[in-house]
Amino acid sequence: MSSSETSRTTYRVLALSAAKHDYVALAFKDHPRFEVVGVADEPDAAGWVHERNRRLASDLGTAYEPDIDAAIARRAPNVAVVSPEAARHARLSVRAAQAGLHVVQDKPMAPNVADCDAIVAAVERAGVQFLLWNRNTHPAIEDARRIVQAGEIGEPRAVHVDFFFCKDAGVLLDSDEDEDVPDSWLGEGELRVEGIYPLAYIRHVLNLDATRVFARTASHFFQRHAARGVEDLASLTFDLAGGAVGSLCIGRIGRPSHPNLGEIRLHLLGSSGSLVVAEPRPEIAVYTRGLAPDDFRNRRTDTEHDRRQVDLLAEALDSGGDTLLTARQGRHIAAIVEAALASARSGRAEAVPRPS
Amino acid sequence: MSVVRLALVGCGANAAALAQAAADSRECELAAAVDADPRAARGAARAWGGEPHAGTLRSLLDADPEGFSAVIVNTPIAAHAETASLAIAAGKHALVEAPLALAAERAAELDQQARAADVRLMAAHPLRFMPANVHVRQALDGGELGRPGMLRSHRWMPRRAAADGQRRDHGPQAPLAVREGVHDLDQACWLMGEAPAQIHAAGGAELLHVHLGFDSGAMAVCGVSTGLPPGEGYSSLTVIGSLGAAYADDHHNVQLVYRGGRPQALVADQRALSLRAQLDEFANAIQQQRDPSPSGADALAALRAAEAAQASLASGRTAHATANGYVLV
Repeated sequence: MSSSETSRTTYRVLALSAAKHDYVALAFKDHPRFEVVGVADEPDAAGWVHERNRRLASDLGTAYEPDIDAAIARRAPNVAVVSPEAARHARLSVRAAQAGLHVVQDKPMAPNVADCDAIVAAVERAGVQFLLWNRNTHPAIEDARRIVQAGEIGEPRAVHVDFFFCKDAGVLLDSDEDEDVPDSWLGEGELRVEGIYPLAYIRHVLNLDATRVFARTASHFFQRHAARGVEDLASLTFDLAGGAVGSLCIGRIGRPSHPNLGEIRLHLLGSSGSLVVAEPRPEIAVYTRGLAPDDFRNRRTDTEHDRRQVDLLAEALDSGGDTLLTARQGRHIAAIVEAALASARSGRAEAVPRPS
Repeated sequence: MSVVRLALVGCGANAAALAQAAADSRECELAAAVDADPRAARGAARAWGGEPHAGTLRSLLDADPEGFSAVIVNTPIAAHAETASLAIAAGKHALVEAPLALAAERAAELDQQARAADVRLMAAHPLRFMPANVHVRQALDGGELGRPGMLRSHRWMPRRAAADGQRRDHGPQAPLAVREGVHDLDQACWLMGEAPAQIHAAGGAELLHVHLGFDSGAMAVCGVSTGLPPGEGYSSLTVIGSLGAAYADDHHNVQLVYRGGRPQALVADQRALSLRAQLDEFANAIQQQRDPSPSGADALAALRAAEAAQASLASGRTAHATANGYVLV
């Protein structure tokens, strides 16, 4: 295929479930290199899942089909966007890869490393591309990567990421109220679900793997996390390849704990300099009488980061090169999380499981 | 209340800042500046008052035993315990640059000695007195943040200051965890209100990273670097509680200077305020005959944690608290 033909290629996208989020599929809407041709899901998905899928199809101006095989046969997609409940991630991604579709998948990659290994194997066997959706295209992260990879702070010695997002999740543990946890709450720990973003920053900026992890976790804020025995607060220390030290502090710290989306920062130490990066910047501050207590005071000015991620996917599909976050890299992040949760239980550092 | 008359023992690094704090304090005054190097003693006394004494604490005690009631121990780390012990034996209160001693065992002896002599022993942990940190502690004490769940700190220093610290260390060298990390560990214990049950450390020659777990379920991650290029340092403190969070750091507080090229960040230096507040606390504890904050016991807990961090760093294992100290697991 010549470069001029490549530039005209339009990839057909089929969204496989919007049980978890719709934003991944919506990022493909109106992109000149992609056409969303449908939304599909398994017929026995829960009723609320079908309802979300129908809503997404409507937003995308396409049809919803509760039959994945039929949708693939009828709509001939090239790319599957997979965003069901985490427990179905591996099943749907493997199914898409086996059908010869490139896969764009929502976080987390899977609830366990074995499922991630199944995805890696399916993708590699089918020779298709895999992108784990991420936030690496935020301008501050791209700047950090450029600065580090240009050698401006020397050899990386340490990277520390704070990923405190100030959203609420039901009733506080400190409250006098009792909460009936809704069935639609999937009961996943915040490290497992959200940890992919900051751990992907580390991978993207430094290109280093973790070999060992020490971690602490807690259900510190919300009744639903405590009821399900999953973490809403966690801290990780990991040994990185080459002797560098990494760490991550992550938590769903509650809306009153920050004026904006949260405290999301990178601290990088190198042999000849250091870098402190606020992920949300550039942003503007808006203070008005009309703001509700829950409104963020700051607004990010970059609205193109998801679009850039899709641009980069198109480049990877055209060239056959790596996506921004490949299946193997996503698997490694899941392995870090798994080792961290094991460490939190054992009270000692645990090795990050390597691919078998 | 009478003003506390101080002898500053050791007029090398940090002496000017300590002497200025004494001069600025309404609770203290500098009675003597002591150093084996006559020029150093004269320099401190000339600038900030008091009499220069070219010699040691022992020779000052021989020459003018009643001229002062308290001592600031600003010697090389290896001489902290010996100097403080001499002061306590002479009935003098002692404010000792942290760590109190090279080893926790010796620090414990010092604490016992001070209690037996009924004099105040205080370790200098100026992070407790940084204005921003004081406000964080007040927010915790007032219940605004709820139950503390996470503490995150960074303290990065330029290489030159670290090298100065090394030059002061005649004799056994203290590892980074004991030399500097002890301050960050004291800060974590002070703010979280408990000593750590788990300590896991990583790092290298210029980098210390300590991860703490507390029995309450809370956690802390503290980073110390002595490897910045020459210039100013950086500090950052985040405390996350069940009802709110506090952020105190240079990144949020910088002013910008434009002189061509990339802008420079300017941070207000509040160290002098912290040293004066620390000295006032020492003087007030003496005047009120109470334990200072941090007390000898607090300083001992921080030093034990620092030793455990060093052991963790050296072994790659995690230190767990027991009734008799920390064991590696």
